[in-house]
Amino acid sequence: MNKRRKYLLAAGLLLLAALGTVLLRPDGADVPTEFISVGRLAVVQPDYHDCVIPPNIAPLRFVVHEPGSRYVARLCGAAGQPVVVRSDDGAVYWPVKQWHNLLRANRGTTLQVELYARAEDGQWQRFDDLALHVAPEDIDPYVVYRRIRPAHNYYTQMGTYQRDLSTYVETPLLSSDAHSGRCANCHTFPARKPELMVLHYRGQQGNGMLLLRDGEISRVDTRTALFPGWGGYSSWHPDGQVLAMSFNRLALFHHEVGESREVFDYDSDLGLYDMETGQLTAPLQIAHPNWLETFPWFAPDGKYLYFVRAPKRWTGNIRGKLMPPVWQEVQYDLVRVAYDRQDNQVGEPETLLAAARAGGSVSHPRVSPDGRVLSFCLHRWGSFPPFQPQCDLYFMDLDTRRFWPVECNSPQTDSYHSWSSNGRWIIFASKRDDGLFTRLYISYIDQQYRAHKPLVLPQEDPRYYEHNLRLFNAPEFLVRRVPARERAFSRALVNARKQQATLAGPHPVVQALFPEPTANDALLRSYYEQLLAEPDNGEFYFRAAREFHARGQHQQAAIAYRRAIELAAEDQPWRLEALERLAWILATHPSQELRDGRQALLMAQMACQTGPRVPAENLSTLAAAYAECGQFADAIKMARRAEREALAAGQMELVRRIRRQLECYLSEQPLREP
Amino acid sequence: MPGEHLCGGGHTAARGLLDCARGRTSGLSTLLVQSATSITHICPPQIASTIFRAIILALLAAGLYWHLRVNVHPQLVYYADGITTASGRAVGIPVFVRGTEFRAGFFRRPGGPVEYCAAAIAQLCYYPCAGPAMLTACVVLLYGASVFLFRGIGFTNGWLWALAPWSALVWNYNRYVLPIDSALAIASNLLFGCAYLLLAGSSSRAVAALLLPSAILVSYLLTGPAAMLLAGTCVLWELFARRSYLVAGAGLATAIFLPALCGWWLQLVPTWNYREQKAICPWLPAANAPQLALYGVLLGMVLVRCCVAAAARWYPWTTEHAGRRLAGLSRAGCHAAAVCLMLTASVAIALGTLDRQLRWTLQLNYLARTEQWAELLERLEGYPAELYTASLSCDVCRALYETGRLGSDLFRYPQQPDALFQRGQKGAFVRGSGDVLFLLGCVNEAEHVAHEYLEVHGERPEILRLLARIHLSKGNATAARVFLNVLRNDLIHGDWADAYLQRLAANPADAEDPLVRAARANMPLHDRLAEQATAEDVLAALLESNPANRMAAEYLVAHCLLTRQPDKLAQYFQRFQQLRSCTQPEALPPLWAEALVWSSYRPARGQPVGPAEMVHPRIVQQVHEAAQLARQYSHDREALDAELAQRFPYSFSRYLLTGRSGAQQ
Repeated sequence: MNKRRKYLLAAGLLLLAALGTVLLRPDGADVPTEFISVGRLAVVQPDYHDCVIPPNIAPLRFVVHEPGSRYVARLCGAAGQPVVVRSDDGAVYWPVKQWHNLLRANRGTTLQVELYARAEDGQWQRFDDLALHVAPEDIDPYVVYRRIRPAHNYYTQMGTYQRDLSTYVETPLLSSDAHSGRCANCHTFPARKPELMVLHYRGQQGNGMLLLRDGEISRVDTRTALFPGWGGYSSWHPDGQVLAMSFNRLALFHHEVGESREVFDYDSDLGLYDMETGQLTAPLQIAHPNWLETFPWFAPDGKYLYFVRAPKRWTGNIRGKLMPPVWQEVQYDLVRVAYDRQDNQVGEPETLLAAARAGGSVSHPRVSPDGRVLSFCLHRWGSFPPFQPQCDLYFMDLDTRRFWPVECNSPQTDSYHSWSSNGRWIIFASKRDDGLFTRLYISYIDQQYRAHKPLVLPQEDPRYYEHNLRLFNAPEFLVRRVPARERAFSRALVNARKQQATLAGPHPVVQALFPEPTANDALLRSYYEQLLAEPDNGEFYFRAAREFHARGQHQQAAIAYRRAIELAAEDQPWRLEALERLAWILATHPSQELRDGRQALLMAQMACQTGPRVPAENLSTLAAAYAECGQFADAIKMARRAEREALAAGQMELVRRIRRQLECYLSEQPLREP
Repeated sequence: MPGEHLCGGGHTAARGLLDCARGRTSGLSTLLVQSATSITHICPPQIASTIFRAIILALLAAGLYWHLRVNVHPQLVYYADGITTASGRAVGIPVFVRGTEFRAGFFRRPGGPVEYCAAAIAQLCYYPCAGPAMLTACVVLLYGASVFLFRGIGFTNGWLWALAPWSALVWNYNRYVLPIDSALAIASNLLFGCAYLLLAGSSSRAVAALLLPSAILVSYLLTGPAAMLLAGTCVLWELFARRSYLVAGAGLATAIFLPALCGWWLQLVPTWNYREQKAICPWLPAANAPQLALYGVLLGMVLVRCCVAAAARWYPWTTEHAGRRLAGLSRAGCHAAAVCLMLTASVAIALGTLDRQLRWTLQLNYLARTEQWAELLERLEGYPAELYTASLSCDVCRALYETGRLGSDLFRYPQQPDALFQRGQKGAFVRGSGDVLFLLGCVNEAEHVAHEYLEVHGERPEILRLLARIHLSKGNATAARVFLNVLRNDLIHGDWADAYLQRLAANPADAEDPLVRAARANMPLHDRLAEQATAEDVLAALLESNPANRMAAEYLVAHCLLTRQPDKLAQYFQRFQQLRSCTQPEALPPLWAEALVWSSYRPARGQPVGPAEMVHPRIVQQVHEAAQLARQYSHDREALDAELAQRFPYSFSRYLLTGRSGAQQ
């Protein structure tokens, strides 16, 4: 052996010896034996003290925020080998393998974390032990979530990721690196099984839905006559053949004080998409033109479809122009309909929790895997809880309809929750740390459906959340890995087979207009056939509306006028008349259910934007709307102006009618006309 | 044979220079001649040529450093994020923060390691000395690697030809493209290529056939698609010069299938911009064309050399013919001419390709970002009106406000109605808008703009600082800390963030930051939806909330002026009067006075709110004259503008009547 090799051998042996010293050091060798007890808990971030933790969770690493030059942490339980970690900067990195061994050995018991810090004078201090309660039940091994910037209008830095909960391994499913300019939206799996998955996307290069099925990814264009936009929130029927999805027309607004953002849902409906046939059905019970329906969720047995809905109290395609004046009053009820998979039929809506009773707006209903409890978000208004600090999670006992706030709520937003497959864990997005960044929290749900102190999703770097500028949301548990990788998803965005969804049966508005067969009425029959053939033709709706109005069928007339206005271009000659007629119905109809003064006023004001000369009918309608809103002075003023215009135009019959109306207003009575 | 003429190349060149320059007795030539003479007399020829080359290169490097320091100013690029050139190319340096998460983002894709290193050293551009030094070092590194490669493939005078990629890189710098990642990637690949040529030359073809794919693989992982340069070079060389078809085939197959294999199997794909611009369509006129030129120059030179080698091998008569043609020329003369030509070309490229227009734009941006407002206004003189962007207009108004000239010099510069600030999504592309909104007190709107800016441009130090202040103003110190923690990982601004965090720990309310206190004092009291409020509504509401908000008051006046609403100004006048104590005619800013006169001058309008004696008679006279001119040229707007530009060039009257401001075009 030459000299060089001898040196190499010696160096190798030294290295091995050094490694052996480090790795095979006897347990507890560095745990201080002499120390002063501080008598309080150490300040640690993230705070895992007293949490109930899953036995298969990745090591809960944390940082000790106590002054000291050296730190020692010892994790021990009734069984198993204790784990000792030393640190110079307070960051406690539990080794993965030893952590898992210890947790497995202590399932259902409590672990203690002994914390020591060496003060500047060299004296060791011992803090009170942190307690980690190991639950008997495992958590699902994977979670899929979306990670985005606080603002995400350009879709540049966002993605959907899959995280292994027993390690820290995170793999992208679709990230902005691969699909810049696209927004990865909600992702849904049937009963937490990843073999079936939908992922909605939108952006500059196209919108749609990616469908992972049998290991193959295809695209679905969900635009149909039902809705010009793309699918949003969705839920799988347990048989994996039907997907309930919402179609929402959302707009982002900004407050000048407080929480800066606000999302408003102008219009939404639900549809049931059949995977086999590619057909979308939208029964009136879940896609009524007078209601905003969203957040569908199938019961675990598939017999009920849960969703939330609110009355739609505005008309017209006003997206991006202005918020309806009633936007803060929009509150959603919790509703369900029975679902017959065999016939693909839904029953009548059953209100489980009215917004008035709940004291706020309900969203995100999710049924626990055993079907006994329904969880939901409750917030002040609208259907977008992430921007409402008051949003909390609630549980509802589906037998008794009793509902209560979940114990793990915080003063900040808690939303976007998901149940684990054994029903013992929920994961949710919370802004509790700083009011801005949503982090994922996991809470144990015991047999009595009490939630325990939640723990933040553990990260490999214990300082991760101190300098992470991205939000986590839409978490969904999975029992297995998603059987496709990012490359496949990003390629599918561009060149996967595309399936076009088609609307089966009449449009919901047509269903609402013609609830009964029209075989005996040739005129209505002709309207029905026209609308069946062209459900997006506003003029057909306008004609039908006039007919309904003339026949005194005001409910149908109002629906048809609304639809006509929504479809009308700004310069459609009949648009103003439709606005005026609808405003008249809303302002003067005897039925309180149909009447809506503020909406009538808005419609009437729009109808009067005809230039310097406004027709007397429109002014008269505006007067009626003012009166319905209780603004009698304006009503009188407007009625007199209408009278002048009618006189000038020689419309004597109208003059007489206006004078009768004026009498009502002078006596501070709103007008009521059948 | 490779390297045949390398040793004597520089020496021959030195002698050639001597021959050429003997007829002249002054200037650089004389200096070079004298140096060369003394060197060749003192040292053996080989060492003399090396020293001669070293001197020339050191001079070139020193000259480049001087050029970068004095002419290019890399510091301008450091502050330039968000600025795009006319061709749509974004100017700026990459984001870099310390930390595992940021690093991990790079190290999980091919080319990431080089991009990471490039992002780190690009931060040196912040410093006026270190930036040019770093860029010079990049050039020298690229040059060295090119020399090695050219030697390896048998270029005679490789040291001279390597000035071609040198010049290409300097051309990039002159266009304010700092392709540090490309330079590092190319240099790495060239060095890999040299190593391969050295090893392959002494190995069997079977070993070479294994070596080349391995080199390409390692290079691909480290440098990304730039590995195709290595592959191209080596494959061409194997194919044409060594005729090793097996090795060339192995290299070619690796180059073709490696990216696909990495993508499909290992999920390793370069960043999307690489795929879209650099790798897939390098031949298209992309925004990063200057960077692509680097690759083009290198590959072109390798290709030429390979063709020459192939021609010499397969068609020997071509070289014989060329040899006969060149026989009449002196070898030393050719070398000297080549040296002079290359040096002249390098210097000419360095000095002649500087994009002065872009430099001006970047200088203005730099002055605005560093809040040198008076200098900004001074430097704006003569800046073409057509180059004014929303961002620059916003900065100009801010500079005028900060220097107290908003009421007098607003129309000295080209203006537009929404010049004061941009709100909503548009604001994300206007660098100063978030700052202005924050200073005004529109904290929520500033937050919105800043978050969108963060989304578009990444974790830039200034935006992190602004976001920290915004959230602190809103009483959310915890969120502010997150931004400061990120800023603490910035190589340059980390100390500032550290100090701020310490102050925040001591005083969690406002960290003793006057800007935070001011923003809190100026914040609106009543909520509403920003989309339903105009800029005027916003400014008026800010004044309602805090009547002492001077910036809001002056901006509101400026808004009235810019939107040509003198009546509105008259309406708000009393509030401004309180703020500026305008009790004397001299104290009233001339543009305000003009607007007040206009508000009363036009028929069917009310009297100005301000007392009449406050407006200087000269202003009144000016308005009357402008009105007369307007009547006179009522059908000829161009003539009216010409006349007004001549008589009252920077007046409100001209802007009101013609919508134009600034110097006449």
